[in-house]
Amino acid sequence: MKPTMALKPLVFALAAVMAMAAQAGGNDNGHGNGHGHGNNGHQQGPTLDQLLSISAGAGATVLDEQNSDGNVVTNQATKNTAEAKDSLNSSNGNMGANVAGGDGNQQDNAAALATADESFIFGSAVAASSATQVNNNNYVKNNSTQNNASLTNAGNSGSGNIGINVTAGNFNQQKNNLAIAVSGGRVAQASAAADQSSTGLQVDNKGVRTYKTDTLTSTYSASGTFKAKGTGTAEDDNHGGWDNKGGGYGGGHDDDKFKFSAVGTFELAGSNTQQVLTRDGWKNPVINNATMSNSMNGFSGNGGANVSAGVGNQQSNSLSIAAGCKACM
Amino acid sequence: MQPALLLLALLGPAVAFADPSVAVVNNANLQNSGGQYTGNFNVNQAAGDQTQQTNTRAIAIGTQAQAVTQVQQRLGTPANPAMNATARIGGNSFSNGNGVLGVNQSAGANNQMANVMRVGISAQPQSIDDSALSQQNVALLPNSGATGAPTGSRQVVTSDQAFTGSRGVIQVNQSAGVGNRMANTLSIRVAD
Repeated sequence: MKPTMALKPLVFALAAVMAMAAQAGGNDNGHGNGHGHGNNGHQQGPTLDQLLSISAGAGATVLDEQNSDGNVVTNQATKNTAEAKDSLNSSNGNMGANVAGGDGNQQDNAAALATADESFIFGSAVAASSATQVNNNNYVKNNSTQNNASLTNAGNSGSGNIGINVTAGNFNQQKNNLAIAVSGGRVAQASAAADQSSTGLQVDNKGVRTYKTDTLTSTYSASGTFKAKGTGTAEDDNHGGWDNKGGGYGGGHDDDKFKFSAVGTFELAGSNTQQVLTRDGWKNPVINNATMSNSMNGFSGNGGANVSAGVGNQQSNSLSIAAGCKACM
Repeated sequence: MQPALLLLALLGPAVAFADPSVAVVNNANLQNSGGQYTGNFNVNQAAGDQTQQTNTRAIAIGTQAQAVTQVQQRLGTPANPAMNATARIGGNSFSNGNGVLGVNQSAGANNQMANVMRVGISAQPQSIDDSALSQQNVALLPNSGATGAPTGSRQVVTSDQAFTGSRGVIQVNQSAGVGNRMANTLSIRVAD
């Protein structure tokens, strides 16, 4: 049989205890310049019609939704801190704790228990828990934001049902659900569901850029052509002519020589130095710390803990137990 | 110690913490927690953005018994992978426990984790299990800026003392990074 059938009002009887834990809203500390509006989750328990029309058996349901849509948060060096410390130790029974720092966070602990008369074997035991978490079209700009969520020395040595939610940041959703149905009937149906959806969430995380100075040095050489132009004169060596006095006409010309040379070098060189800033890293980055230490030790029963730091995290713990009569053929 | 040496010794550790090469640092740290648990115990821990985590359990006992679980996780927005991410389970966490344990620990973004268990103990045969598990994710966002932009570091640490001596069902998802999908599913159906 499908679990949806199990919830139809005319099929099953539901006469018993419906226990629905309430949500405790919790923005207790750590606000910066953030602006946000979270739509609180609304719990959808069975309607009164359903309660009346189900006349036998035990039904325990936790059906609820956390919905966050269309919000904008800008964090400028915001520090969101949520801490549960030295709490909920050595406790018995049903316990729930929600601790949140930031904007638009949703938290919930819910438990539903139902029992029916043992002698009525035609009834049924139906336990259903459904956690729906929707995050839609939210925008967060984090500039050097620090989100710290910590659970320290808490929830130790307890027994029963305990749910702890700790979150720091924006648009985080956390749930702990428990549904238990016990009857003497033949049919036992347990269904547990988790539906987590995140669409259109924009998170813009930025720190502060750091730069280092780099010195760039270059050398260069240049080349070109050498052009020279010169004039030279040829000189007579002055002993030609008429020096052969007795000999009539001698050679009238001596050897005339002409020499010209140009010598030179081009020496062109240089160096160039400049300094540039190059990206080196970030300081004051966005930091998300989720810490759990020395907690939830020695616990007995059903325990759930959610710890988150950051943006748009969805967490749920669900347990459904349906116990009917095993020997009632 | 000479004053100069002392000064050097003091400055030394500071030098080690240089500015990170990325603009986001995510740390999920779990120390000495969840030991000696009994029964059903679940922990979700997330540092970062847009993480989805669930522990879902259904137990049915009866003549006609059926346990059904439905888990859906959907993500529609890519995330920038440039970050340092560390997920750490340290000390003697979750040791010497008994029962059903579910742990999801994530550092990073866009990680999906599910631990699912259903137990149906019935005197009659059960109908077909119509439980469902689905995880939808998106591709990573390409790095903006210059090529070779750093994506940061990833570190996953599990202590050798963690989970020791525990009995029963133990489901653990631990991840540091972006866009990881993880699931543990256990179904037990008994008809006798």
